[in-house]
Amino acid sequence: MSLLELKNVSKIYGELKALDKVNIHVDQGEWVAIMGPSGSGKSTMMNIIGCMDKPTMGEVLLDGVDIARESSKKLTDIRRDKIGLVFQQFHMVNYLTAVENVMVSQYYHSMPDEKEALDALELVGLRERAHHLPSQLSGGEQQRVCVARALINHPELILADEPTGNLDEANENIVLSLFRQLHREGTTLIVVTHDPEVAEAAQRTIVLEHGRVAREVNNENFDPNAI
Amino acid sequence: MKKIHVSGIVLTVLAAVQAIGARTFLHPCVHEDGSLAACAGAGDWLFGLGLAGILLGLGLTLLPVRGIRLALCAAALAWGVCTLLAPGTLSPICMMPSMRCQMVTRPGALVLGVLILLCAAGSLVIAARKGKRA
Amino acid sequence: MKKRSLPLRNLARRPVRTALLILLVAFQALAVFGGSLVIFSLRNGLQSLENRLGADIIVIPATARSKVNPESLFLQGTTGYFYMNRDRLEKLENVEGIERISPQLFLASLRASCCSVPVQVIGLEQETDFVVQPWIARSYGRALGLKDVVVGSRVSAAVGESIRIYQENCPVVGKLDATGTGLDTAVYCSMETLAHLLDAARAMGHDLQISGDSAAQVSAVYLKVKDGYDVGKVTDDINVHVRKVEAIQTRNMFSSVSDSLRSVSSVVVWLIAAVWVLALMILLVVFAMMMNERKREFAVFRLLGMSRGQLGGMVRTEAVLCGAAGGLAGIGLALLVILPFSGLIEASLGLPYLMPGAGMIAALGGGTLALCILMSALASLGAAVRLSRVDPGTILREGNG
Repeated sequence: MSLLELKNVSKIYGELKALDKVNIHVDQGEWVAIMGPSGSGKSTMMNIIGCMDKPTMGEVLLDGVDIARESSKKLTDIRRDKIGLVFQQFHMVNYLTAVENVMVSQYYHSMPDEKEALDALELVGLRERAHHLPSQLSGGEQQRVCVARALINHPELILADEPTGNLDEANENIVLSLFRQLHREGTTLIVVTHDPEVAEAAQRTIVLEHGRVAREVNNENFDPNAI
Repeated sequence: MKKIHVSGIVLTVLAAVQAIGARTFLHPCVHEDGSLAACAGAGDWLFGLGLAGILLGLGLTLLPVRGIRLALCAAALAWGVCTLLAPGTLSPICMMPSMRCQMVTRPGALVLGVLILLCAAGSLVIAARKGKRA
Repeated sequence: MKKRSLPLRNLARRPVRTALLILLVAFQALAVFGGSLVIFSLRNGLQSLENRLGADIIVIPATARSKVNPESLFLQGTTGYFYMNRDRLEKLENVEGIERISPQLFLASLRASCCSVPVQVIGLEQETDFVVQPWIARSYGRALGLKDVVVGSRVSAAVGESIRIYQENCPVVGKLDATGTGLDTAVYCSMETLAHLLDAARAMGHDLQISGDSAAQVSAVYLKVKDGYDVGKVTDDINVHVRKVEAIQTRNMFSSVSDSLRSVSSVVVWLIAAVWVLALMILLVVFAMMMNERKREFAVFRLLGMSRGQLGGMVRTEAVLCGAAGGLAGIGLALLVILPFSGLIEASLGLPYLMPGAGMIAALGGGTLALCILMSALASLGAAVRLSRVDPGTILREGNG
């Protein structure tokens, strides 16, 4: 069943077409990588799927709702309720501890629940670091906290933008291992990356060039049970 | 580089103001013929306390050991209380409200004493908390 | 962690910046509250003085000005003494338009036991006095006996104690309420007592420049003018028709005091305005810088689901907290300085000065605090609105590799 569908989506800035009649779909529970060089339109697509921007033309159906027609306020609500975001730069609130960073995500969704936040940290293997500030955590640990923050409200979709871009190989493997675990549990994942190794971890890769879908590749080596 | 504690600097400045003030702008009454008035002792108390305060302040500025800092903070609290009590309790002052010791020395000691107490209390809380966190 | 503790946590993580904001607001509060307190105290003092003096005209010997400034004596309690014969009273009674007339007798003590400085001793004719009697009656309801004294609020002697004036022991039977004027340092007694003290002073060898019987002297005569008569005209009549006296309208004494009060108030108001404008400008700059520095943090909150309104609310809460803390600090500092130093302020200004009651002080403090909170919230408004409109996705992707 399709969770996300982009139909003839274009984003035009003056003379520049950042996205040009893009058509993609992502099924429920699927893990899709979006690849492409700089300027290919990955960021623009990420912003549109993440309800941070609206297309100039086309439809963006998220769980059946065309988010391209919604107001800014509604987009905020949808983003809060349905999407978990993970960024390359982590973007933790640096004066809050790890568990508090996770709880902030709960504030605007439902009710802050420390136990639930600790459980989310347990899931990413960081329960014992729950009361540490970001400055006391390594890059990999911070990214894992961000994954926990993205998961806490049980979103339908995890959208990750270069999640391993600032990590060394060891931490990259830890984060990918987390994604594999989430995928096994049925979470839909869209990972925007320029790293082929990260893309290979996904089930399917969509390659963008100059704002268009150049090709879609099913990863034949994908192993759903890989750790 | 050695860590400098801001609260110690503030207390040192207050102590210097007190010591200098006791002999200048906060001095108590002097008779027209230059002889000492009944309130002269208040000025001496404030001067002596100010000198002691300078030492306390310098200690709090420079010394890092938590136990010593806590002791110095407690001593600073005592200094603040003595400053409040110097004119009127520790040493007598003149009776007429229009006298200098009543109009200038006592209010000045009150202001300084309160500021010293606030700063010392703040230092004590911070020093105690830092110990807990460690 | 509660949602409402987010603003507090952010303020705590930047102690220097937070301290600067609080300090700025504290200056504003100090200026408004302190300045208002001084202005209200001056107005209270003037009102108190008008109430206390009571008379329309004061008549003094023509030579009195060469010895002491009458305005200083009557308004600021400067000690001084001058005398004229009681027969002047009869002349004054014949002036048309006088409703009430009462003499007073002055003496400056030479260091009474209560005090290390001379105090003004004022003798009242209790049968005719309409100036001080109403005030005395509040603390002592009977007639003053021989050597009984009632002291002003700033004389260091309590009821039941005695003070020694020219080696005469005088029991203190009453203490007057504060007026904020020089009258607070005066000692009041009956005419008979003061004549007695005059004799004691003369016996000690003090030359008071009196000729004749002490009991036949008066220093000043207080006059109340009948309704329908012009005070100025009556004053002129006295100055023309009664020899060797000078009649002074109390209204003229007040007008110079109230002119001075207006000048001082005006300076204070300008100072308050200058401090406020300067501090507000700095606050605006600091808030703008603060918001700019926190773009990413705000973008994260927006992405996590915080609405623009909620983000603005969080920023306003931070500003309000700073405003409240600064307001309280400024008000506290003003009280710490102005209350204890009120004697010095009064002596420096040379004007009647009477602190308002606790209720008025609380009202001024509450008003100042509300103003500080409001100004802080407004100062943060522009920056918060601008920042909440920025696209969070763009900000967060800046710096991505």
